[in-house]
Amino acid sequence: MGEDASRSLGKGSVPPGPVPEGLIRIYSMRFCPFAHRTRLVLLAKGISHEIININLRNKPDWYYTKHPFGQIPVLENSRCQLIYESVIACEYLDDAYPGRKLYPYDPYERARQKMLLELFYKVPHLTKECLVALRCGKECCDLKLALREEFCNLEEILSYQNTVFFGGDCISMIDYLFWPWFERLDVYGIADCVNHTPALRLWIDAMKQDPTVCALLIDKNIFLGFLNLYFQNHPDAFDYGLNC
Amino acid sequence: MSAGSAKSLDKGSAPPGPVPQGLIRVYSMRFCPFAQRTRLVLQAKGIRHEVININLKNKPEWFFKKNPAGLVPVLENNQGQLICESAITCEYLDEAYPEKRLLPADPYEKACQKMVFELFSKVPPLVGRFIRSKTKEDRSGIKEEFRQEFSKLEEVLTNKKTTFFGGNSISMIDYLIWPWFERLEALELNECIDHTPKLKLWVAAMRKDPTVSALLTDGKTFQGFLNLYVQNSVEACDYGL
Repeated sequence: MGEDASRSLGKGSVPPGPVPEGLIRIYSMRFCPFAHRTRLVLLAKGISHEIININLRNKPDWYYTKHPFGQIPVLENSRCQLIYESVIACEYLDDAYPGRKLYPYDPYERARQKMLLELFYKVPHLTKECLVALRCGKECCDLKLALREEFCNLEEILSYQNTVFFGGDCISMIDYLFWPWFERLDVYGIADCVNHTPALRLWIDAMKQDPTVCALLIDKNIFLGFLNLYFQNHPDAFDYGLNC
Repeated sequence: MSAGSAKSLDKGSAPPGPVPQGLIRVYSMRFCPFAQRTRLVLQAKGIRHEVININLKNKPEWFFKKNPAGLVPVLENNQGQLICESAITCEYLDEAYPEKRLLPADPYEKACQKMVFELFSKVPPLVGRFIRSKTKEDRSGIKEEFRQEFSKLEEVLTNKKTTFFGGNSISMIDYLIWPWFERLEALELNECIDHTPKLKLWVAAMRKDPTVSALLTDGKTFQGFLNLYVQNSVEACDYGL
C-alpha cells in the first residue's frame, strides 16, 4: 500500500515525476492531523497510493505548483489533477473510488454528516492553541474550557443518537474526519478535556479498535520526539523516528 | 410555487404546521444572501417548495427548534428532516432531486467547484465588515481586500477560459457565490471588479440567467432594507411589502 516512511522533501529537492498509472499521490507530513484525515480515507477504502512527505519548515519551491500556499494535504492523480483542502480531498476519494462508501448514500444522512462537521470547526484551532500554550509554559485554562465546551456539543450528539459512532453504529466518514485531533489529545497533554464526556470516551475506545485507525496510529514516543524537535525549530523535526 | 413575498413570522407567531405533501419548505428571509443560495437552487431545479420568511430581528421562539443557531436558511421536508447551513442545503437539494443536476457528476470537477467555493469564502465576512464599517479609511481598506479576493476568482476564470466558474454553462458554484455579487451595485462596490474583466463579464452573464433574474432584488429595495437592518429595526425584513 502506501509507505509513510519516507524522508520529507525540502528546498532544493528534485520535483517528483508524474504520478504512476494506477496510483494516487498524497503530499503529506507524518504528524499533520489534516493530512491524517486523507491517509485514513485512502487506507479505509483500500486505495493504492504513494506518499510524498513535505518539510513544512523548508518547503521545496516546486511544491507551490501543487498548492498556491504550500499547504498539505494535496492529492495528485495520474492525470495531473490536484485536489486540496482535506475535507474536499476525502470526499473526492469517496466519490472517485469504488468499493466501500464512507459517506452514506442517503442525501439527508450525507447532509447530517456535513452538519456535524460544522460543529467541529473550532476543535483544530483550539487543540493547536492548547499545545502551543503548554509547550511555551503558558496557562491554557480558558482554551481548555472552550475545548471542553466543543466536546460537550459532540457528547450531546452521541447521547441523543445513542449510537457508538457519529454516523450510526458503523464507522463512517465523519468519524475519520474527527479522529486525528482525538488521537493527539494525549500527546498534546490535554487528555483531561474528555473527562466529562463519557460517550465521547467510548467513541475514542471504539475508534481505537478500528483496523484503519490502528494501522495509522502514531507511536506516542515518536510523536513526543517530533514535538520536542518541532518546538525547538529543529530542521529535521518532520523526519523524527525514521530509520536512516 | 414560491411565496417569497410573504410577510415574515416573528416572536409570538404560531409555529407553522407540517410541510405539505409534495413540497419542501425553506425558512428564509427575503434579503439574506445565504438563503438566496438555497432559493436559487430550488428555482433552478424546478423544485416545488414553500417559503416561510423569518423576522431575523425578532425571531419566533419556535424557530430555534428548527435551527438551534436561529439562522436561515433551513430546509424542512415532510419527513420532518431539517437541514441547515446554506451550502449543505444546496448540495442536499441537488442529491435529493436528481433532475437538472447543478453539481458535476465527475468527482474531480465537483472537487474543483468546492475548491473555488473555498477561494470565495473570505467574501461574505468582508461584505459584513463593509456594511458595519464606520470610516472612509476602513471602507477604503476593505475595498482593497475585495480587489484581492476578486483577483483570485479572476485567475480561476482566466485558467478555465470559460464564462462560468464550472464551465460554459451555469452550475452550482455560480449560484453559491452570486448573491454577494448581486449586492455590489447597491453597496457601491462595483469599482472593485473594474480590474477583473472576466469577473465583470461573469456578473453580466449571471444577470441574464433566468433563475438569477427571477430572484433578483432591485438595488433601491435592498438599500431600503439595509438602512433599517443596520438600525436593528424589526421592520427591516419586510421592507417593500
